[in-house]
Amino acid sequence: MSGQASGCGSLMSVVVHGDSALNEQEKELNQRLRLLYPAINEQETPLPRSWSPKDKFSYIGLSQNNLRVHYKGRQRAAKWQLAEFVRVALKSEAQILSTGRIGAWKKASCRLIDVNQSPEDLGSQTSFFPGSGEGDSIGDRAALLRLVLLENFLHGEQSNRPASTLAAWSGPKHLAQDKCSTASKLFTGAVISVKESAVAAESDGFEVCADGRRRAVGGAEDGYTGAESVGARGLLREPVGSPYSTRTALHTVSKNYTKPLAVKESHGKTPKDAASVRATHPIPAACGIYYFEVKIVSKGRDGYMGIGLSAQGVNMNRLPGWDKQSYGYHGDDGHSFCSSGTGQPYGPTFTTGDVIGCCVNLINNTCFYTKNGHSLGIAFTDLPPNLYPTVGLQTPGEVVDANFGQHPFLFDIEDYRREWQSKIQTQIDGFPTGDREGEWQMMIQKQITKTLQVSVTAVAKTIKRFEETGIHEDRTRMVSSYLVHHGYCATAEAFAKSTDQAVHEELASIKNRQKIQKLVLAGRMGEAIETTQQLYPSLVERNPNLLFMLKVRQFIEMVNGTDSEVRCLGGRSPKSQDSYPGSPRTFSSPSMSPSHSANIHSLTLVKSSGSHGHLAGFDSNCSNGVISNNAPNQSHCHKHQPSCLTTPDLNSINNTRSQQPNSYTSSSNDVDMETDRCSNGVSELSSNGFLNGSSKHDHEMEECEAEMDIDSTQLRRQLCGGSQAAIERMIHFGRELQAMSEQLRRECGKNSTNKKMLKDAFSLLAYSDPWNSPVGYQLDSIQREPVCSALNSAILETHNLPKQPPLAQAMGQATQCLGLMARSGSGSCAFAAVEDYLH
Amino acid sequence: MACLLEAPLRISVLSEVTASSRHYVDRLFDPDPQKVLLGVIDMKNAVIGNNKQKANLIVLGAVPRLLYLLQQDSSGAELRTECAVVLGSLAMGTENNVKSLVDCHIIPALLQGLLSQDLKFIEACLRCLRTVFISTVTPVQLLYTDAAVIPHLMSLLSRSRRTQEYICQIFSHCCKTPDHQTILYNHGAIQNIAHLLISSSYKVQMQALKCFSVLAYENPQVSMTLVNVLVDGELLSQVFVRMMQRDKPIEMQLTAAKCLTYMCRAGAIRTDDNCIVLKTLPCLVRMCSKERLLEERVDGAETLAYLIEPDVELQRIASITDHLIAMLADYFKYPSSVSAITDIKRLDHDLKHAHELRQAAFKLYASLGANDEDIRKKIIETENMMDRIVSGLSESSIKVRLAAVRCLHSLSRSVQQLRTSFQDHAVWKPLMKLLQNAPEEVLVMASSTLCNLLLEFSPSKEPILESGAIDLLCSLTQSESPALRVNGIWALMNMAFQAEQKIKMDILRALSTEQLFRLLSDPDVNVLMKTLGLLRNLLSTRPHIDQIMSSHGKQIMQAVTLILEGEHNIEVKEQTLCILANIADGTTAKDLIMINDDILQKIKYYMGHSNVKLQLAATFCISNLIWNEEEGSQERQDRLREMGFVDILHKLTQSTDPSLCDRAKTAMQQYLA
Repeated sequence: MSGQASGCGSLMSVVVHGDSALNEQEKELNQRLRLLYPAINEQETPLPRSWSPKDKFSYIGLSQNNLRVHYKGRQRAAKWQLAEFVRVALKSEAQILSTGRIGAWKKASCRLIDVNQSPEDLGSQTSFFPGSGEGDSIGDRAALLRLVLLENFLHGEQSNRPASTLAAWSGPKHLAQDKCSTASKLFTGAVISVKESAVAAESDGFEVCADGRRRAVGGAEDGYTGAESVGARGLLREPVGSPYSTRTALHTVSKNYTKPLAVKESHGKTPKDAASVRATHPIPAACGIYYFEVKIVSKGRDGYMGIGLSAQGVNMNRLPGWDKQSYGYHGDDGHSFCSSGTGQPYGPTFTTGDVIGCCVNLINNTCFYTKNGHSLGIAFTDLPPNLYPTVGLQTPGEVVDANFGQHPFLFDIEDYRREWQSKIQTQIDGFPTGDREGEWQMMIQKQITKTLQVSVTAVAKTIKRFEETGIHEDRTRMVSSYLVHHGYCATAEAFAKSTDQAVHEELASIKNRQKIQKLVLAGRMGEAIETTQQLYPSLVERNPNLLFMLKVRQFIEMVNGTDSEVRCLGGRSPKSQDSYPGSPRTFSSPSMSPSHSANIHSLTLVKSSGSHGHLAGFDSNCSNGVISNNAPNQSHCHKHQPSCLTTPDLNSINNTRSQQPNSYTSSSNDVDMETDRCSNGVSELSSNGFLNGSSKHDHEMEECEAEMDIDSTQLRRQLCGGSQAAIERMIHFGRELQAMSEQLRRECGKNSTNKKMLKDAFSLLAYSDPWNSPVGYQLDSIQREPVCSALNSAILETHNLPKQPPLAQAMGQATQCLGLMARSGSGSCAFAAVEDYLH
Repeated sequence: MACLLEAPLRISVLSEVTASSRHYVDRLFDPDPQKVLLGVIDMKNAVIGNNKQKANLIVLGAVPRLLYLLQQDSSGAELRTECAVVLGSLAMGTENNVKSLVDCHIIPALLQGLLSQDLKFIEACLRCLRTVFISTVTPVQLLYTDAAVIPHLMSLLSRSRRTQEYICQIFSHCCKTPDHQTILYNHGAIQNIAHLLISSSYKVQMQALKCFSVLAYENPQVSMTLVNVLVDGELLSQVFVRMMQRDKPIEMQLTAAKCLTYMCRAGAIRTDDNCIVLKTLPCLVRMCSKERLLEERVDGAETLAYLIEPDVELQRIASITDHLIAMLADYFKYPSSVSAITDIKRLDHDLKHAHELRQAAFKLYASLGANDEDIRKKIIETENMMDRIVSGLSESSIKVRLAAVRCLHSLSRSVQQLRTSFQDHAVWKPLMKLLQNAPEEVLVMASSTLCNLLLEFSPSKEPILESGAIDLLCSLTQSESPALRVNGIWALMNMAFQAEQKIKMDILRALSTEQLFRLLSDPDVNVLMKTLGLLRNLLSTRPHIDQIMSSHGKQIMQAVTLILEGEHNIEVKEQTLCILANIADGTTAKDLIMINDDILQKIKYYMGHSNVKLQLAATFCISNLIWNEEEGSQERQDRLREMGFVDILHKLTQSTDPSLCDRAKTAMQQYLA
């Protein structure tokens, strides 16, 4: 038993080693795939990483993490199971021997031989067991038997290990060295006959084999019956039905009995012996250039191997290239097969030791192969999208290993990618451009609808133009409109001056909007609403939902203690606020009475670190306005703005845009749509503004930091800033809000958005520490931004100005278009990232 | 000063044309230096892009005046610089312009100008020099006449990007011979230019790269130095590999590939090095693709042909890369039939490059098919390949003819092709025509091809003989060029192999024994070997031996003695002993040896030689002499026994060499029988 144990040990160690190697390999694979296909989002479109155990024909066997493919053939399928059975048998044999039930062992061994040999070989086989049950020692016979079994088993595994070493590892009882060698000598003949009979059986088709097996099954008893019948069933599962297969089977059977070797030759020659396996996933178009390599581990008997591509649903009982939507390069003749049974002369033949690569160019939909790192030239053109890497084998012994990026490729695919990247880039740079903004918009729209290859150039070109400031009228208009939209009036003013561009909106109006925005972002909602009503009297009247939203926000700000109404009642004012010159309240002040905590369930002390973050955001928003009025910073500002627009935001902008037609067609829903938009898309947009501010804030950070640090150490957050009067005011305001909501429902019908908004806001009061409550997010200054941008958009709309800046819109469209191209199989999107043009 | 002497006459003819330009020249002579400066600036503006104006000014004698102003220190830096600029502009014109400038000794003047301290002026001079030197009409040697020039240029390399660009460009155009390479190499060109390869300016990089390509061409010394040069911690070959990346400009890829090719051919890089096999070769194949410009395709194919010429493995790889063989077939489709009508400009362009393309393709085919039978087969199977070669053989352009013959020569190494397609297309006809009056290089190739066509199994042999090849080949053996003599005698040798008596006699007659013996004392050992081979082929089968020996026996025996006595290598001696053995195989010819004691002594000497091959050949000779069944064998045996041959034979039967031992034993048996 010690032998077995040590054997197990070494096996274990191999496995452990294999595991760590596996992780390493996995890591390398991920790294390489990321490097090769940066545009791929694997959540959406996974890359092929191995062969698919599901999408293969039964003649194909997979191993080594589904990267190695070998040919089993019809018979092999059964043989595998047989091997499994032998393993079981060996185990039970060991048990029998260890218990000393020799009689039982003799029976069992005979049965095993029975199972392994086809009937006609049985006679010769028994002659190698002269002492079966007579003179020879049990140990020897056990070894001999095991040799037969193992040899047969290993033949199935295509291993070339000498029988003697195997005997040494396998036995429960060790064989003496000399006995082992005699055994292997003795058994060479037997082993060969075993092989031959197996091959013969293979070519006979299953009828004969199954027959043989059945006979074996018939004579089987207890423990073995299960295993054998599995084997038999495995055979029966093989195709019988097609007239073609029966004909061949009959033919070979008749031949087989007289001349087994000739039959051996014929196996694998017929197309019906072919079998393919494809990768787990199709090649995503966004790869741009896709590449994988296949190493020919063994060409097997005839080297009928095909490497290529196939679409979903292609018959796997064929070599790649023979059927529609299937493409392959075959090793035996070096021909390429383009959805046809007859190949075209393409390249050299390939055989054991060669590495064949297949590169799919998803930009021009072509494919070329490589052999040992040398490109063989275009093999196929006009390839359809969504092809799977595929290999096909046809004769026994063929083994190939795939490399989907697990190892470095022999061919320098990165160099090839570079070529195409620069090609696309040149195409984009050289794309003819119109002069007016309108043309651009139209062109983009057209391209999107067409989703043609060229679109990427138009789109990318548009994007490219955004980052180039100055000179071009149209471009500058876009930039300035962006600036104006977000109320960066000083920047816009300077920009307009430097580019001789008329700003579509009066500067005064911009300044007004800026003021309102500033108030909203500072959390001073009361003032903001007041100012809005003053400056744009009709706006809130016409938009009761907007007003409601603003009021809800005001309520939240009251809870927060930042709204002007509560602040003058004892709340604190933000530090950098110039309109409230009074010194900020400190929390050590006597106005912080214990009664507050009595009224509201508990008074909360918030960690200073949290408030620090809160305040930082707060301050940055305020400083935004200050800086944008700052002349020396102007050029810097407008340079940075585009870069702050992040792609996902733009996506969502686009989404909201696409909703617009709806809101126009159903006018009754107009109001609803408005709010919808606020919560969905525009909220994202406003975060642009925020980012913008904060990026600028970085430069002012140092100045502010000293002050802020002092604040943060002292700050503690309390409901409504901790003032009793303020809390009363807040509760009163809440009632008004409730009333307004009811009124609104009466006038405009039910509005779930409004309802939820109100409910969420009121929920704040239900928690002892609203800031850390599940609804506490509302108190975050970030939440001011959707409100801010909704208000901004509404104001702009009343002035007949676009709700979204065209710059952001075009970028959104560009990003969207690239995504669309990826989905529709246009590979050039791989080399035209929007970000590349935003520097 | 040619332009000046002719000036009055031309002016009268061209007075109308030049009148408008006259005032520009007049202003150069103004006494006010400020006005002169303004005049020169005006002139500069007038000549830019105007070839006619340039020619006018040259005719009117502006050049000597400008040169004068340029050389005068009193002129002031600005004026001198402007003069150099105008001269540079003039040099940009036609070839004639450049010629006139060179005739006015512009080069020494400009080189003198380089000694100035003013960088702007130096740059202007270099720019002008560059423009003059890149013209084909300028004698390159002018750069090397003053030994101080090259070191000074090297020192100027550090001045500015422009000086780097211009100087590298001058070097790359003026380095035409191994001597030039050595001069530049000795002045530290490699160290001075290597770091320019990573310059931030593309132009500088490119010119430095070109410079290296001309320096390394067929120059092992430079190449061996180059492989060890480090640029910014990186090996030069790696820098070149980076320059061959596919996203780099084509010109850069191509030139970098050239550099590596030359370094490889000069033996500095192994042919199985990855930078050759996986980078340079694929890069050059890409250069042959249809997407490239015609010039690039020509350059790419020629360089690739040069790279793979000596290495069969590279030939095999190239033959499967990117369908190269099929790709080359496209080289023959210019001018394309479409372009002829639709686009005159394109037709002109195509026509200009058509010859170049064809010869480049032939060259590359020749290299590809040099060693591998499968590749040859693939080439011949290319559409209309043989027809193209046949028509290429009779094209007007020598380059194309030469390349076509080279290609044919490569393909003629295939036994199968000799028997099939060569016969089908009667390749021998244009080939024979080509041999009539071709320049030497074509002759060498063509006669070499003819050698293969005259091989015994070639069906072309007969018709070639009938078309008077013998006389032609015999005349080749009298050529000055050793290569032609070898080919001529080689072809005759092939022709004589197992030939009929008549042909052999024709050869002997046409060649004349005098010529034969002259060839036997040829300084070129190859010629000697092939002549001996011819003799041996002539002296085969008994009747032929006897007949030839009866008519030329005396001379032949003399020649044989002479060679055996002379200082020759083993192969020559062996070949000569084989001739003797053949003579000994004749019936009457035997006597010529038997009566010649001197020869017999020599045979005896070689039987005891330390070299087995010579022993074998000598024993063979003796064995033929003592062969039983032949008339008079007894006497010969006796005589040779007297001379002590039996003892030697006996000794040889103990030899360790099995074939020698066998041979000696068979000979001994003749005595025993």
